[in-house]
Amino acid sequence: MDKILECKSLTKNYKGNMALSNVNLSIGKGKIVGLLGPNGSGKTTFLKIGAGLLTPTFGDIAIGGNFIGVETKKIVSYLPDHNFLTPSMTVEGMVTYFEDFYTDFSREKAESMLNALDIDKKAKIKTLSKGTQEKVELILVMSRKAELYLLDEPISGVDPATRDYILRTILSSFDGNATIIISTHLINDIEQILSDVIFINHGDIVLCDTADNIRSNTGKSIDAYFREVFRC
Amino acid sequence: MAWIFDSNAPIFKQIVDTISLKIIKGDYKTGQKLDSVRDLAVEAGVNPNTMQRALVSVEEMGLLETKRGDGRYITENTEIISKLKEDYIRKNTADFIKKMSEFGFSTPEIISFIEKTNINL
Amino acid sequence: MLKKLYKHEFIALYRALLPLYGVLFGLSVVTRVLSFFADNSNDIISFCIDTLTVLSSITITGIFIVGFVYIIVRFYQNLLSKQGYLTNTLPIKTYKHIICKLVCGIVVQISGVVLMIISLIIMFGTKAGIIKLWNFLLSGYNSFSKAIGNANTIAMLIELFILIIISLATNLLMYYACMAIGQQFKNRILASIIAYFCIKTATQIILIVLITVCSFVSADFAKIILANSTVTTLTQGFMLFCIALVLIEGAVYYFITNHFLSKKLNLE
Repeated sequence: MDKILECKSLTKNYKGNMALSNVNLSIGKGKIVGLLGPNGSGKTTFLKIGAGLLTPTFGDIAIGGNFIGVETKKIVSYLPDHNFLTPSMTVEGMVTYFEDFYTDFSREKAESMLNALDIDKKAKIKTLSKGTQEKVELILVMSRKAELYLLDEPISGVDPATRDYILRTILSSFDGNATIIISTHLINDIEQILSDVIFINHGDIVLCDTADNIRSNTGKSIDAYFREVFRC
Repeated sequence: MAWIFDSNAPIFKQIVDTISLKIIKGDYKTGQKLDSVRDLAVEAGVNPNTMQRALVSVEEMGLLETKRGDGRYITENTEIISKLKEDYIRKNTADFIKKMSEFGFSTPEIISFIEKTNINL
Repeated sequence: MLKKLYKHEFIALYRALLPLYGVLFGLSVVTRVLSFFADNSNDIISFCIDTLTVLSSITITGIFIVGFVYIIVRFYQNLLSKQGYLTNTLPIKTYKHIICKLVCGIVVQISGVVLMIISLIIMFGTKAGIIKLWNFLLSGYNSFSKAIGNANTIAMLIELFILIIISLATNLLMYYACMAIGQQFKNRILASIIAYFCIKTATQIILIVLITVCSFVSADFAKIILANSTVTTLTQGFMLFCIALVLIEGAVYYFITNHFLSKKLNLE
């Protein structure tokens, strides 16, 4: 079993809108995949389905050989594109929460990253700035030793220095056997770390290839090629 | 700060080139132990699996040696390094001369310019 | 892992409600202490005691209402709102989440009742009063026993207690079901309210249908039943029938909630 995620004819239709349309993908282990597309193209929908927060209208999806359920949730670590922590809990409390429910969570790793960023563990989530909250969320998600990480726009709402930190964190937590799927529209910042790229538009997969293949075939950076493909 | 790559060309080859150049230039000393794949990948700002493939490639060039269980070391084989250095200057010189000749300079003119140029090294 | 789920749920509920409980407790104590200085001639103290008594009564009612509302809000926030993005990705089956919230909700409501009783005792309990109350309860118990034909009174009381618990559960489950149905739609709150009215109407209709069916039971059949039973079996039977009805209603809400939360989850 060398594919971590496989989906066939995956379709999601809601509110009369075709968010995902007949998606067929087979993603291997040890990859850092960029899920790239304009706003509303279906990136978030795809990740939410993988995380178990949405059910497909049609089609199948399997992660680690299992259909979406408790077994997949054990090996999937999902970072939503908005704040999801409990405002009244402390940072320390959230670390404990993750430790309580995820057997693959490493408290030491989380604490060392929080210390490195000088984040007060006793602070309540609601008192943290948006950027700090996002850092905490990323730390919690990446402190799990998951087999599949689904990161929805992890670098969009933060300043460039934080972006660098986030990318470094992603790379240094990356264990060669896991797979990370990152959705973003900030391609320039992220393309260097990607091994594979998926272009998605209006719920359809437009392109799925390795990053270097695209560069040698087109002679362009992923960012430049993206602009060409999705020119308005 | 991550290594700077030209995103318009495959990154894999650029990593191989960057590392080889560092070795040839002497940024990495002969016999020096290389950082782990993970650390190098983070330093370079690239996917660890890509870095791994690149290191294998550099190893195939003869510039790196894997000591079992102990990681990668820069080769102590100074011959290979000298040869690659020579290849490097040869190629760059050839490119330079070709480029200058496109402006209409003859080779003797180019050489005399080189001799007259005072670069503070 | 299940233990942790309950732990976090209780902490979340009581963290919000403990202050209110504390206020009630404090009010009761203060009222009682002041009443020691009560003296009908002293208007100010009488006024304070009366005000505090009123405040305590308001607080007691408040505890029930606020407690209940908070249980509902917590369900929504934790499963269907932003926090839902974390809760629903935990490696725990949906039904376990529902049962956890249900159980904790019931415990919170019961603890509200217990607190109310304690407050009342603190405020108004005197030795004489408590003895009077105890005698009153005892005589009530005896009359009750006689009325149900000296059947197993304890069993009846237990069944009554079960009925109350199950009713609390079914009530909560109904609200859960409304929210589970509502989250499907764009305008969640409106949809939940509509679901609420639909469910209420449906239960009324079913009740009317049941009663009508029962009234069609032939007179002979009724006579046979009455002839062959004692007051005991009748009351027992009726009690069990009520429990069964509420249980079935609760089960329906439970399945609705579980279905919509696991198969039709639609987090925004």
